[in-house]
Amino acid sequence: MSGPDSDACLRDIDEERARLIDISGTDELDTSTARVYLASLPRDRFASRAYLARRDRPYIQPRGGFPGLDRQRALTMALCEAGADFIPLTIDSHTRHNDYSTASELLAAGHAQGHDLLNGYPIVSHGVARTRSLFEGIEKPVSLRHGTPDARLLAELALASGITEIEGGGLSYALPYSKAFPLDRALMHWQYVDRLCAVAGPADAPIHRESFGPLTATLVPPVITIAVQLCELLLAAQQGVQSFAVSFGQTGSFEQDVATAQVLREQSARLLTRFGFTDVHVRLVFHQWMGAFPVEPSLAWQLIAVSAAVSLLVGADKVVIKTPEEAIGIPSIESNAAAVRAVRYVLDMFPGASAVTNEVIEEERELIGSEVTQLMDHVLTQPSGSLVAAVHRCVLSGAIDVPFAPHEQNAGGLISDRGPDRRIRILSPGAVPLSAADVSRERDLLGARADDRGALWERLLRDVRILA
Amino acid sequence: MLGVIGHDIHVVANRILAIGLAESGFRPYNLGTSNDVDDFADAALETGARAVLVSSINGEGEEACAGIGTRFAAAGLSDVLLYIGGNLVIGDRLSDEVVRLFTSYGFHRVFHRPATFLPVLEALRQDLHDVRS
Repeated sequence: MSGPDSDACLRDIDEERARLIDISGTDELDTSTARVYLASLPRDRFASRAYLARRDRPYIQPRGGFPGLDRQRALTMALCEAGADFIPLTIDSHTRHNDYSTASELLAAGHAQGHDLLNGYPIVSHGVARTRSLFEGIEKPVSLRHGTPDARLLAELALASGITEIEGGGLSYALPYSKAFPLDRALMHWQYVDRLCAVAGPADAPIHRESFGPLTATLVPPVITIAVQLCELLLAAQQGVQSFAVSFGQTGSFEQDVATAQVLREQSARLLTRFGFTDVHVRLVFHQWMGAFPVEPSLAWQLIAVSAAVSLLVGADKVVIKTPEEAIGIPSIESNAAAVRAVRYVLDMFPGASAVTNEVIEEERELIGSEVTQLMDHVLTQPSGSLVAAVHRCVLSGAIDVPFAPHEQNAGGLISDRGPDRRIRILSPGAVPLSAADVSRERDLLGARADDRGALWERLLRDVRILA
Repeated sequence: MLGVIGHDIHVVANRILAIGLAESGFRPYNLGTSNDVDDFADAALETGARAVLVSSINGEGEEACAGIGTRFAAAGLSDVLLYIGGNLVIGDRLSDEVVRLFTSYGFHRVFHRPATFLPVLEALRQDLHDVRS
């Protein structure tokens, strides 16, 4: 058996924390800094508390990170004023890869040249005091958005800066975000982050963890997204995390979105109960379309609006939003704030909308549910000493296989395609352990493809740009 | 030969371009993501590639590609074609300015935000005119 159990909890990580903080060279931090500062914060800064409040629409979460402090502060204020419920801090890609010195150099060079050379906020270069100042007077939770296989130092600094929600996980921030970072190390470092989150928050306001379901956002079948979410949920619960969000990205099919949300909820509850984690609160986060966006702003706005409506109809607790400048690059402050206002406008049209269902959704829910049960049973019965080892093993064997992932340890054996109804289908499961019945059901639902002619690269590119 | 430069993990178009090159009669060698200029030069030496297609989506290319022409020349690779494509700079800047910048680094062709790979495949066919498609 390789299920989660309490023996796998890291318990006291203070020694490792002290070593990590020492090596980082920062003089702003010791192992008590985060705990003491978080305890002093007003409770409306805590994501876990926000999720406990009643609401009749999903919370709105923009993304956003500029290299410079002043601009990041201006963004924070603008997003707040526009009505964002969660404030983002998005980290630049050098920091995500633990290349802090390059991040610092480019921060300085960009400042000297008068234009940005970093695609996010280099939190390690700025440090705790400056980062805390970004959120002075802000009465909303701040979420750390990144893509970091080894986020230990990042999480230390973020928590010490008053950030109360940490996105990521050992699978979801390694397979889609790294080519060569060893997966076993990523998983172990995320066990550290989970444990840190479990011990750093006040007893009445735990630190909230969120997984990243969109993965590569390219023809990822729901079973893979959901299995990754469930693995990270259980790994976090095992380290004592009490507030956790599973998430997924808009699939391109409304029916599949609704079914994915339902299966995510059902399976999360089933597995937490099965392993006795009855004190863990699970939330559902929906990402607006993570694929290529239309360049034309009037089209981008439609996609944002429809996607906002979908977030409501799948019953999401939070929606992570896009901006009309998504196709161009990093959005301006104005564009980001305008997107928050627009999404809010759409969400307010359907207060308290309840989940819909129909035959197609039921069909999807049944099939995806069966596939997930099958795959999770496989993960949880690995001949491994621990859940983390079982998860690692399942990636190496290709049982967990993310299409288009850049990671060299990802099997890349699963082949997916999109049916005429735009639902994502598994053409060939590779080593993902699905029943023969489900595999044949997938093929039936894919049907004969209308556009089988033409070069493969053109078909793939067309799918990647299906909403662009 | 093709690959993505910098800490840039946008791999989807890279994979599709590799498929497209193969389908168009070229013999692609794909370095995937996370490469620097030296990785491209080393691999060009090892594979004897006649063209190197560098891509960048997150805008890191502006810093990471500087000096690529000089580096290739120093390695005796001045006859290797250098292409760059993707979303090449952070923020919205004039296309002409972007092309000028990357040409000054030593790239022979610059594809800033192309909608499809057709112009890339066509240019490559033209530049390597003895390659049959």
